[in-house]
Amino acid sequence: MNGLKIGQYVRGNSFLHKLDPRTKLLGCFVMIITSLLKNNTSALYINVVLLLLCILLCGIKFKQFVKMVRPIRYMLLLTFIFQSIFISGEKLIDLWVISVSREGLHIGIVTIARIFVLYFCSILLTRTTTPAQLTAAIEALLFPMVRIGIPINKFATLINVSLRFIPVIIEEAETITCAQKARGAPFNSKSLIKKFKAIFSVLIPVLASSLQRAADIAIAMESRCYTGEINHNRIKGLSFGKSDIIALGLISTSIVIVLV
Amino acid sequence: MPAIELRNLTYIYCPGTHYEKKALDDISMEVNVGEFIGIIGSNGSGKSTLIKHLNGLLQPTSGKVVVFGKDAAGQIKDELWKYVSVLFQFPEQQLFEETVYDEIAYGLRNMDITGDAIEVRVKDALEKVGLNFDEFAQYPPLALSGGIRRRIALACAFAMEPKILALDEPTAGLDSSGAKQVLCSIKKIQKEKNTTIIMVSHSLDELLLLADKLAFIDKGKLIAFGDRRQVLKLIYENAENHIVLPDYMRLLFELKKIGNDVNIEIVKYEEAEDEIANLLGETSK
Amino acid sequence: MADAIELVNVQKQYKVNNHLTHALKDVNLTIPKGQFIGILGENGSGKTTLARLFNGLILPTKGNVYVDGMDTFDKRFIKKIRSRVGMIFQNPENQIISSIVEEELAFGPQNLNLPIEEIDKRVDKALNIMGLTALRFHATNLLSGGQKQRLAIASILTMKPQYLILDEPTSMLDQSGRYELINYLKKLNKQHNITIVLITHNIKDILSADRLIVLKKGAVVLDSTPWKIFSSPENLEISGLNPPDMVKLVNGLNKRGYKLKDEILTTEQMVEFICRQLN
Repeated sequence: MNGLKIGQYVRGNSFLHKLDPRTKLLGCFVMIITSLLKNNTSALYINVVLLLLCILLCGIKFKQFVKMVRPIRYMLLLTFIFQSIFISGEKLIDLWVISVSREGLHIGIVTIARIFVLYFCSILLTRTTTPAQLTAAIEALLFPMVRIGIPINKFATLINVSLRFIPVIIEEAETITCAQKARGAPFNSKSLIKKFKAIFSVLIPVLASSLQRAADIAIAMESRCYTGEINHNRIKGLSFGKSDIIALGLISTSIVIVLV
Repeated sequence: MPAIELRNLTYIYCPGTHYEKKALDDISMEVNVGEFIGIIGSNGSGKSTLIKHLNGLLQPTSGKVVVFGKDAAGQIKDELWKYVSVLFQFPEQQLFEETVYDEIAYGLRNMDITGDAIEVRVKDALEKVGLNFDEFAQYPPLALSGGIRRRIALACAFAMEPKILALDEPTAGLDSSGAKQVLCSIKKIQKEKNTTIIMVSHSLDELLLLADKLAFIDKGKLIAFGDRRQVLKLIYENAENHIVLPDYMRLLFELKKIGNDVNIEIVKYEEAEDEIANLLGETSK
Repeated sequence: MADAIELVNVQKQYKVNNHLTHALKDVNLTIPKGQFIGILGENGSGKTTLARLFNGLILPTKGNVYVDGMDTFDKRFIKKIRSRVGMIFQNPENQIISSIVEEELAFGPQNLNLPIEEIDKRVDKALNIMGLTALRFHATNLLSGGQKQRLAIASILTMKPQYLILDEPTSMLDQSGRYELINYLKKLNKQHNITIVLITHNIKDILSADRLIVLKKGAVVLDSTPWKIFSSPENLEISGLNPPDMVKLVNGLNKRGYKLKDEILTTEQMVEFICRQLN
C-alpha cells in the first residue's frame, strides 16, 4: 500500500547523488531540449546512451529498470505501432492492408527514444535529488529573474511543497473512493451522468481537504518563521566538485554535437 | 444463521513484491445478528483491512467472508454494500453534496429508492443522530462544524438501513460530548433496528460501555475473541498492549502482578472499586 | 515582564456571516517558563484561538500578548517570537513541509538564515532528543502518525524554542502513539526545560501537568492543579469534566469510610499508595 511511488527520492551514494543539483537540473534541461530538436537525431541517441549509463551508475538493477518502464509500456508500444504504420514512405514490410515504411520505423524509434529521455530524465532527477536540493538549485539558477521582479524563491518553495503532497493526495483520493463505493457510488455505471457524479463525489472532498490542507500548511510554515525571503545560505550550501566539471563537460559536448 | 462469518481470512498486501505484508493472518470469527462487536487493536494491526473485506472493497487472498450464509465473493458481490454499510475513519471528509438532505439521500438514490420514501428515511436518520430535520436538511454540509459533520456522515450510513454496520474509529478526534453523541446514536440503531454492529476502536473504555463481545487483533492475528472478561485478560498478557486498558483495569492487573489477591476478571469500574475496598479491608479507615 | 508569556485583557472577536462572535472574552493569563500546562475545553471554547495568540499567528482584537516582554503587535519581533514559541498542530500530516525527515528539521533554522554548520548541529541534536536519528533520511510520508508528530516537534526544536504550544497533538494518534508522545513532552519539560502548553480533549494526557486551565465559551473558568480540579465536585460541575478513574476511586473509597488523603491521579501513584497501606 505504502509502496515506493514513482518520482520519490531514494537515498544513495551514487555518482548522480553526489552531483550538484544545479548540474543535474542543467543536464536534464539540455538533454531534453537537444532530444526534442527536429533534424538532429545523433544528439538524441547520445542522450539515450548517456541516460542508460547513468541508470547503470545509479545502481539500478535490470529488474527495477523493467518496473520503471512498466507504467509507460503501452504508451511506448502504441506510439511505435502508430508511427510505423501510418507514416507513408518506402515500404519495408507489406501485410495485406498494413504496411510498415522505413520512414515510419525511423520516426517510431525516434519518438520512443524521446519519451524515454523525457521520462528517465525526470525519474533520475527526482530519485537522486531531494526536494530541498531541487529548490535550492532552481533558486540559484533562476536567481537573476528576482531582479526583474519574478519571485523565484516562492516558486521554488511551491515546487518543494507540491512534491511532498502528491503521494498524500493520491492516498486520500483512494480512501475517499473506498468510502463512496461503500455508499454505492456507481463508478462503473453505464450512464455517463451517474458515472460523472460518482467521480464528482471523490473530486469535491479531495478538493475541499486540499484547500484545508493549504491553509494548515501556510500556518505551519508561518509559525516556523517562513516569510518568503530568499535564503542565501541554502544557495551557498551548494558546491561544485570534480564530477560536476566532468558532467558539465559532457553536457557542453552534447550541445556542440547538436550545433555542428 | 450468523450475520457474518469469517473463515480463515488471510490478506496479503502487494504479494510477490518487496512490500509484501500479511495484513490479516488466518482470521476466523462468527458474528450473530444484532450483536455489537468491538474490535480493538493499535494502528497497523489490520483492523481497517478487516473492515474493507466486510463490504467487498478488498477480496481475501485466501479464506472466505460469508454474509447471511452467502459467500461475499459470489452472487451478492455487487449488492453487498446494501447489506453492509461501512463508515471509515474521519467520514466527515466524504461529504460532497450541496445540502445535508441530498448528502443523506445519496446512498438511498444509489439503492434506487425514490420519492417520499427518501424523505422519511432522511428524517429518521437525522433524528437518530440527534439533529433536527427542519434546522439542518437544507444546510450545506461543508459549512458545518467537524462534530456535526461527523454525525451527518453517520446519518448517511443509518439512512441506508444496513443489516450490518461497520465503523472504523467513529469517535477519533472528537471532544467528549461529541463522542458521547456519536456513541449514543450507534447504540440506538443497534437497539431499535437490531443492526449488527462491528466497531473498531483503540479506546477500550468506550467499547466496554457498548460492546457485547470483544475481538483483539494484533499484527494481523486474532489474539482473542468472545467474552469481554476473557479478552481483557488476554490483552493484558500481551504485555506491550496494556496501555489500551482503562486505568481501573490496569490498576487491578498491576496489583495482581505484584502478588496481591484481587479478582482480575471484571469489566466495570464499580467492580474494580469493590475489589480495591476488599483488598484494603480495614486498613486506612 | 520577562521570562513568561503574558496575556493582558485579551479579547478576540471574529466576524462570521456578518455576525460578531467572541472567541475570547477578557482573558488574563501568565505562562511562566518551566511549567507543564494543560488546557482543556470543549470544541468552540476558544482553545485554538488562544494557542494562535501565543506566537502572534493572530493578534488580539483588544488587549496585548507579550512573549518574554515582546509585544506580538510589534512586527520587528515576529521572527524572534515565533522561534521562541513553537507550535504543533492537530493533524500530523498537514504540518510537514518536506519529503525528507532531515530537510524538515532544517526548514525552520534555514528561515532564520543560520549557517549550514549550525543547522547541522541542531538537526543532529533534535533527531537525538526525539528518537528519530535512525529515520534521518526517511521519506516523511512513510512515517506513522506518532512518528510524524514527533518529527513535527523535532523540527520546532531546531529553532531552540523556549515554549512549545501543542494544539490537540494526540487526537489523531492511537493509544501507544499518544502515550509515547506525552512521555517525550515530559522529557522536554524536565530535561530540556522547555515550557509545555498542551491543549487536549483527553484528560489522560495531562494528569501529571503542573497546572490545568479550563476554558469555557471563551473565558478561563478554572486555573489550578489537576488534583484540585478533578477532586472537587464543584470544579467538575463548572468545567463539565469527568474525573479520571483514579480520582473517582479515591472519592469512591472515601465515601465507603476510608480516609485517603494523598493526591492520587495515575495508576502508578495508586499502586504505590495501596502497597504502602498494606505493608
